[in-house]
Amino acid sequence: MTALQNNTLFQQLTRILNEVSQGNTTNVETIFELTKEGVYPPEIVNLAESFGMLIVNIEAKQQRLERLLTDLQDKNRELEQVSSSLLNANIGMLEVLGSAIAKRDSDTCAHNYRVCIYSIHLGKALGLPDDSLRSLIKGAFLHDIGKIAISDTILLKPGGLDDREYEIIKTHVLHGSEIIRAYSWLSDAHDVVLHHHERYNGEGYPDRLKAEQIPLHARVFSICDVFDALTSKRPYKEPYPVDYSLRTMRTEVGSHFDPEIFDLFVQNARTMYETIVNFSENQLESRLHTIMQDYFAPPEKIGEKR
Amino acid sequence: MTIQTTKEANATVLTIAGRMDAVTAPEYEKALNEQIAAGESAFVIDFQGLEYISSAGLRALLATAKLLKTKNGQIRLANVLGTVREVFDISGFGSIFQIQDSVSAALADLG
Repeated sequence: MTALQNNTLFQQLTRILNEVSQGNTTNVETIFELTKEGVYPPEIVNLAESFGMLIVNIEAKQQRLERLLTDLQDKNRELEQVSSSLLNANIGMLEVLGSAIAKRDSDTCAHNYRVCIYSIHLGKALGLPDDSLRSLIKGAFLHDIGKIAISDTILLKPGGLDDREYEIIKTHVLHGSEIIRAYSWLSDAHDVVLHHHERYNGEGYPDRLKAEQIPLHARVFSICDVFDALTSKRPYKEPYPVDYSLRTMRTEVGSHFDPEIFDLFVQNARTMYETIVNFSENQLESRLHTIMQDYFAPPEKIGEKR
Repeated sequence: MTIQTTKEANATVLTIAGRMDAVTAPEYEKALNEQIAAGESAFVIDFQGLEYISSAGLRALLATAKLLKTKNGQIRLANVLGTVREVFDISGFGSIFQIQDSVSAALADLG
């Protein structure tokens, strides 16, 4: 091999190395070609071999990284599935618990579903963040869970309640509070479960809390609860019209209901009512289930939706 | 370089001897590709007789590993010794390939 040919090979190698260093790997094969002992001068072969090893090292590392990435993605998918099923389990439990209470009581599941939907809308109108809305939903769903501890004779009594019976019924908020305190995922339902019978003027129960002392969720919920009670059929009454119900409730603003929250509620009440008044129980459940998925989806999905 | 191909119950064993470099690496790739095209997907490469492996040889091994991964195939290396082993270790091949002490150990590992 002449010095000139040697020089040409060296230049070729240099040129390709420059290309590679700038990210262009189209001629990488030539480097390996130049490693052929006996075919090319030893200096060229040795140089090419060194660079060849460099390239092999990089490619090996790259393959390893790609495998790690794939493994990670697989594990992530598994985790997402676990997360999803855990969430669905919790939501399912929530729904089942709510239905269990409804069966215990003369109220139907439909009441539970409706007050949940009203509460969510009111909460959104108030601008509550998602985590707050989640707590509100849980509370709305389980608000009467404590009734499970009340005996049938009182709970299902056809006529009115005497003072003693009324005192016993009032304990349902304390029972409810005890029940849900046991499970951390339900603990944020506590505000509603314990305080949904407080009154703005401090004459409610169990703690005679007044105005802003009453947790926000409880103030939101009690408006929705009473509204649904007035506008739906009960064993002792027919549904009252929306206007009448709202007028009746307005007389209790300041005594029973938070004034600002009530004003906000009134703005959307008719629309909300008309949307769901004719929903069957199944439709209500379905609507609520969609809302649950929306607000209880795993964290990364929540970011995507909004 | 010589390549002997043996079919076992659960894998195809390629026994390589001699030098694997820029000149001979294509033979290895051809042999392996033929097997893959014929439907084989589990391989044991026996390096007992390998005297020397250059960057080109290593690159060919990497290429087959990548190809097999796309086909959900399996590959094990056996009897990687001496300087060849050193080169493997330096190049980080231990984290891409599973290396066993013998062909029978490799076959057992493939299950």
